[in-house]
Amino acid sequence: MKLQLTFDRIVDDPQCKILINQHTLYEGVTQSEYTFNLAVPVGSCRLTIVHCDKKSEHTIVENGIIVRDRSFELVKCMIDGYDLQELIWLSRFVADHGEVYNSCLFFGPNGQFQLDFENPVLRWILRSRHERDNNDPQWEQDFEYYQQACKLLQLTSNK
Amino acid sequence: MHKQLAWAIAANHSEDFFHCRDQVRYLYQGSRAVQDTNIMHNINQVLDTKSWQNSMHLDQFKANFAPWLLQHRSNSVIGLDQYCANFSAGTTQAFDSFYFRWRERRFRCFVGEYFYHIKTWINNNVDWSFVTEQDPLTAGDALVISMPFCDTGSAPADYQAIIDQCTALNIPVLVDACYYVISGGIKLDVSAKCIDTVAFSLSKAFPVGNLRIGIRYTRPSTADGQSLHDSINYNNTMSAQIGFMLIDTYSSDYVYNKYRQQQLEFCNAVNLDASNCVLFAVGNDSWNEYNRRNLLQQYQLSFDPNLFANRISLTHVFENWPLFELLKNETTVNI
Repeated sequence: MKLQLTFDRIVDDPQCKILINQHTLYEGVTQSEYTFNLAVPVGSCRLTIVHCDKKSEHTIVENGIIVRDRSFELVKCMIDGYDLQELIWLSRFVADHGEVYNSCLFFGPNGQFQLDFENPVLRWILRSRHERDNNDPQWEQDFEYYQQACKLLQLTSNK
Repeated sequence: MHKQLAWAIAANHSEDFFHCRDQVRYLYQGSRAVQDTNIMHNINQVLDTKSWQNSMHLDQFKANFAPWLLQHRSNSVIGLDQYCANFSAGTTQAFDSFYFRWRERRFRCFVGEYFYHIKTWINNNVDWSFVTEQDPLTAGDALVISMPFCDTGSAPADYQAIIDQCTALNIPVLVDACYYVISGGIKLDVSAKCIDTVAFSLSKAFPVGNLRIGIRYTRPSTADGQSLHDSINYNNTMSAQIGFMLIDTYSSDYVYNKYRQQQLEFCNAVNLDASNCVLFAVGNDSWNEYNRRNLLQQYQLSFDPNLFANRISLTHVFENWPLFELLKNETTVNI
């Protein structure tokens, strides 16, 4: 699996940890772009992005207003070349203090962003979109045709 | 198998599922010429000569076009010697000239005719209608008819009867013969007095659609803008040069002979009726997803797609023939 993440509005070197299932891919200061290539078994997967080590001094408040806050934001997630686009909103952010924020791409408090999907991701994308919009009844058939076409082309390249 | 082939062709061009799916939707549609690499190479060599400005190319192309047509070993055209040849920007320029010449008439065509006519007539508030049993041809009409017929790629069974009727009613006719050279088994008789224009093009036989290479045949009495420009060689010399190279290098039945066996083999494999025109076949209701819906949308025309035949374009199949053969051989293997 190829995983590409893009972060933006990174303030004051926030610490993060990126995992697929239980496998840690990165740990350290948040960067704007990541690309990981990893072997992932077929089936259920979870992308976890942990925001950690943020302390109270990382939030500066003046006159009751936050004027600076260590934080960052996830703006793009691509898996195997497919931009998840709106499906990224199927995620949630579980803050260490116990709150759960659905569809939250902003990393303010310490906590972890979780996105559950499936490998291969294309099948999950097609199914998820159809479940939500009910406008792609052919998705499963098309996916099978596509898979078979890829296998056929693999045969030609092996000959 | 045709669906699997469409996906394989699409995936061979792009790994992205969504790009593939878009391509699959349109893969068996259109009427594009096969992108033959050998022909493309020869075209590029002509351009390398940098001699395109010579107006002699126009005369060479025009003079040699009718003899080239007559060499077709599967088709025959009768009566072309009654006409004068003009260079034409594809068949389209001949259409526009015909519309203008007969602008006082009601334009007619059969259901399934090239959408360009209909779109042009509608957009210009021209009086027109389809020829139907309820609305037959009448005096005062002007008819456009493709031979082979655009909707099926085959000769309409009643072509001669239609022409006879037009002669009786004094209806001027434009015969769009753009599919003639890529077809077989066509007997095109243009000797009837009602026939005003016969238009040919190289766009369907060779990958030169954008060069707009065609010949228009009209009666000697025809004097219009197109014949005027022709008389003073004010036409596209580069297209004429390439056109002449093509007819000088490839016989008029080259494309038909090259792809006819592949057409029959593919049609047999996927249950299609092969057209006279080698680029096409006609599918039954199981091919409805490849009907004219997309093209109608493209032309912004609101006709029922079910009015038209499921004309299947085989261009992509010919361009990816090794994939078809592989798929054919792999059907017994679990891919």
